[in-house]
Amino acid sequence: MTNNIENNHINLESLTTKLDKEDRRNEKITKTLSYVYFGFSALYAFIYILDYILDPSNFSLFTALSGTSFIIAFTFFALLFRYANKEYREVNYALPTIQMLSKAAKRYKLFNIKLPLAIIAALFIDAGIALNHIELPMDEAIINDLIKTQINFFSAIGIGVIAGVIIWHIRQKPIRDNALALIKELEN
Amino acid sequence: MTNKEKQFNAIIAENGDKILRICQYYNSNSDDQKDMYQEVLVNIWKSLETYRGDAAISTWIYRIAVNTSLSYTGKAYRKMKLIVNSDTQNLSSLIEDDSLEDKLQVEKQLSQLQIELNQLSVIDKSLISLMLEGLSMREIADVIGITEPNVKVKIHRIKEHLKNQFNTQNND
Repeated sequence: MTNNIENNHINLESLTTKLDKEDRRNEKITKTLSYVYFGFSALYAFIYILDYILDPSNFSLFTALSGTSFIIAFTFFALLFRYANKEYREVNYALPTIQMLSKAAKRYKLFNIKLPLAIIAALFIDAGIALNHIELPMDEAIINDLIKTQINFFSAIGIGVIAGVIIWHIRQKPIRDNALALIKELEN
Repeated sequence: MTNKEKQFNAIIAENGDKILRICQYYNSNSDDQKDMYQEVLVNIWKSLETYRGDAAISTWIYRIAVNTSLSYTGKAYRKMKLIVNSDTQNLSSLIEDDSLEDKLQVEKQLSQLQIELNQLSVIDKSLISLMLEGLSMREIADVIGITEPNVKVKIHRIKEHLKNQFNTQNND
């Protein structure tokens, strides 16, 4: 035992350095992505406002709605990453076991708060793309183009959702099931 | 060295033995013990900023060690074993038998106890590991987050179960 502890103490200094780096990196990723999307949102708002000021005659209602949709979508993505960052920071192994397990079960739920946020953001992106294609009067070519865009968009989203569910099923569902089983046992 | 590093090193210097003992309950080989020990250290590091001093440092350390063991053993859930040896503290509280004085009998009972302990659920193993560490029912309740009467009931059930298994084995 003494030897093991001594070995661990020898490694302690390099370990704390590694830990510090890991801490900072994980927090930075979600924080940075949150800022990037807030930045995109502000940039889009700036571009559309500038576009309107410089050439108001060419600025249709659809252009305005498309721009607004992109801005809302990016804001939602930013909120999503902000939430993920908060969730990461709140992982706390020092909580009483039953609380830690409850939080883990909630975190690994398939339909948690991040899902509606992601769906809303994706729908706004879709609305932004679609509105960008609309020109009045609508002719067959525009409608066909619009349909093609929608098929492509929803196919991509569908593939993404299926991949997400498979990943959840393989990686996160067993953790959640394990946590729920332990909670049930503790409460009995 | 930052303040966080100083605080971390002081906690580990003071509680390293405790953490290692918990790791030894769950892993028989020294590499696995070391891996789990490191994982506990990682989680202590991550949780350090949330320590407000509202729980005793030992309770806080045990919470992290037990929670890590649950997550750690979750990776190899079925392989998880609770290892006890004759040096394990408070072992007599688990085997309530006067014949322990006989060395051969002790060894036989210990190996039987080992088998029976490994039939227990992961939660029961955690409760027993805390009991073997000499924690009071109140302290175990604080670590696990259930009520003290609930802990007493669970420990009593485990002891009864072990006693029944011992009696059955001895009668056979």
